[in-house]
Amino acid sequence: MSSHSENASKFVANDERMHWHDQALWFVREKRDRASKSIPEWEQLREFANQIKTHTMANLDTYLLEFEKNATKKGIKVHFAFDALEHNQIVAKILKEKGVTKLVKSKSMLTEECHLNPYLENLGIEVIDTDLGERIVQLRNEPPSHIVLPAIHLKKSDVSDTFVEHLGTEKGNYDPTYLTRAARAALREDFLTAQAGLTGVNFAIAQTGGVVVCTNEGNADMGASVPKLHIASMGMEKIIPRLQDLSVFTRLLARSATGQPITSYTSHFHTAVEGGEMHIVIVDNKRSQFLSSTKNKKALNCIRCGACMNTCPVYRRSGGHSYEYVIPGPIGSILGSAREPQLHNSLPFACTLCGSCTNVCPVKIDLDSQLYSLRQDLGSADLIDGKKKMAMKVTAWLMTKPALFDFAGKMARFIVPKLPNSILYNKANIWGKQRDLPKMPEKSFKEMFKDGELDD
Amino acid sequence: MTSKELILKNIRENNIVKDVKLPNYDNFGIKISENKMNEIICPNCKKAFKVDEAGFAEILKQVRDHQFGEELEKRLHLAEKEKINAVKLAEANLKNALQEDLAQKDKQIIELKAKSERELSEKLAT
Amino acid sequence: MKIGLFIPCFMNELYPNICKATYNLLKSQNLQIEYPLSQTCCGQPMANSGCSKDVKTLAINFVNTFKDYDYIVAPSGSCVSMVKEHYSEFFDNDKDFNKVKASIYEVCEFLHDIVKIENLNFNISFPYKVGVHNSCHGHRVLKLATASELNIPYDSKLKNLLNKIPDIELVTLKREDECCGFGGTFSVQEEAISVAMGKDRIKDHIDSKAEIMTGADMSCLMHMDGIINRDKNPIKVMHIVEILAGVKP
Repeated sequence: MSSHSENASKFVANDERMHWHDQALWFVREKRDRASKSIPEWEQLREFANQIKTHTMANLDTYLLEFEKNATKKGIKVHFAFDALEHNQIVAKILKEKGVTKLVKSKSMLTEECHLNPYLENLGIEVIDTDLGERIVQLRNEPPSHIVLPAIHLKKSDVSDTFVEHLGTEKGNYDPTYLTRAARAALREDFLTAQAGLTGVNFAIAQTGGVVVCTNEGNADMGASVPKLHIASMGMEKIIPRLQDLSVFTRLLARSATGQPITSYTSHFHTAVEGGEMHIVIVDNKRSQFLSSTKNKKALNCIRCGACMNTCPVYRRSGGHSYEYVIPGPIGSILGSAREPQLHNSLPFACTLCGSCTNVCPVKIDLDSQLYSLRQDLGSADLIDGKKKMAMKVTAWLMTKPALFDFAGKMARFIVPKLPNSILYNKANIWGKQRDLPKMPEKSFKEMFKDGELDD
Repeated sequence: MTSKELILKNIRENNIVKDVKLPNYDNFGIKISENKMNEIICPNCKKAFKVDEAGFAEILKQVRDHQFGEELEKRLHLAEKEKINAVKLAEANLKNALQEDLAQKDKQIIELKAKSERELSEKLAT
Repeated sequence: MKIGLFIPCFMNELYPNICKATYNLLKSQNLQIEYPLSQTCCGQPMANSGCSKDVKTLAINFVNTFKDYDYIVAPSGSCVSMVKEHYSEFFDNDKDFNKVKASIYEVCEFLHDIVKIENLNFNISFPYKVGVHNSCHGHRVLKLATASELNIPYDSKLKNLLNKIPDIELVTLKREDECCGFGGTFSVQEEAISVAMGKDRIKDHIDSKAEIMTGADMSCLMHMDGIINRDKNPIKVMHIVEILAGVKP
């Protein structure tokens, strides 16, 4: 497991590709800006969304029970899973009971978190990801690099090469329409031969017991309607109280994610297809840990729109794979380092604390404050680099002794100009790799002031 | 304890999120006043034109009316005919292929018969 | 009003002329300024590295140094943000800290809002094309200008101040408020991304025909100045107080 900075350096090294990736995601951010600025009530909607989520989280147990009651009334079978393993076990059991050998799956970050695909494949069940971006990365055997645009790190040529190998398309044909049609034909085959469909859940409505899935491709709809068995997996924080609260979120979600006023398909699932069965699996997997955290509780507001990644200048230039966590970008850094601080200790530092993510978040998560406080958590838990910690301690001590600090500054200003460049810009000087050091002035401002040089 | 009970217990014991009231949506959003002319933008030429309730209903009607129904019927009929023709063609092709095969086999049989008669004569001659 | 001048530690050591320009700028508007010598550092580098606990002594020293001033003014958005946003954990509703928190301002903010922009007079000429770099802390935390992500009416205190100079020309950038990549220790820890971000910002200014890049935070400008000097880019960096104090490029 490499740190974010090591992975990021490799990504940045390919300058042309890094700028292409940066420009592609900035374009999505610009589309989001245009959409958000086209409705005057945008900031009001963000505040509503924040209130709805806060209220729901404060009363999560009540709403979970209300949801279960109403869903069960509609004939949906509701299951609760304490952790990722139990989720996988429940899904596997349902599939095995129906003799399912092939499953079509639409986008679900929860199933990525639980590593469902390898678990099912080990049991001999074939899993086909039906979102085009996810299908591409599945064929390439790599993880998604963005939660909404999983294959954003790939160019048309990469996709074409992958399809040549797995779908038998024409070599060298990079036309996106041609490639999409090929994928559509292949996926159509999978939809028609699968015995079960698994979807994620964008919003679960406690009042009605139904779930809402938003896609642009209609793959969730096809996967839930063609096979006779539909399983919907959801994190327990996806619950919202009433149908009218849903309207706030559908107005925010697509605009924040891609700049569309709404996704092409916003489907409400209230029961199974004729002659079929519908199951919902509600998963905890450490989400209750966030409910008890003073600093990180707002992270549960997340509706997985991806706006924070699109706006993050560090994400755009390092790519999703540099984070080595199922969700990248600002929200991923928070979720990853809050759950497994030792494993993901470089993630809160993969950030300049610029605050852009907090401003774009449709549910007003205080992303930059959480990243700052996670740094302190890592510091207290002794999980930051020992050398750095010592350097900071020494500097802080020095700062508490004004006279000594001034003296150290004076020494630096005296010695540094006399050092030859070969010593000054040696390998240990990381600042000096691509930047010149600032020129050392003769006197500090304090010295100028003391010497009466100011009033001239 | 079932997972459900365990999850609910965790939430109840550890939840420190302070409750707030759900927002009220009365008088929020875009108001559509009575008797107002609705403005529509053509998705093709982007021109804006105003239309009242009756005119609006007229446009909607065009989408699903008698003419539409007839057109639909005609196209379904055509599609059916095409399908039948395609099936006939496939059958004819198959028949031809089989007949060719049959002719080949007949030829083979004649050749083999001739061969076996020759061999028999040769054998009798020795 | 009695004003206490707060000079960021690195500006004191590395950019004394800019500190002098700040002092002169405030004096030129007929303000009474003092420079308490017991100040050292706001503690931002330590806090951003996860060592916030080590900052407590510095925070207490800071409040003691500045508690008797009506206003505290600093030529740095990030240092002011540090005091306003991250010092509360060291004080338990302390009267002196609350006063300091309410009276600390970044210098442009102070001139624009407290002295009031209508009352300012800059008798200077600056006939150059200038690009304004919006440093993140000043921009989003202190709200020196409207962030581009938000759907609220646009205003910029920095641009309002600069526009009081009759012959200045402010250029429009492609990305108005993208981060420059300095981020404190980030500039060393994630050096590759930090420099890549800095280079992109510089390119944006150059492509928009800016001759001078200015901003309210010397940390950002120092980082980009380092790249400009290494790559010999055709643009010069000046802190906004230098321009307002009449310094020529």
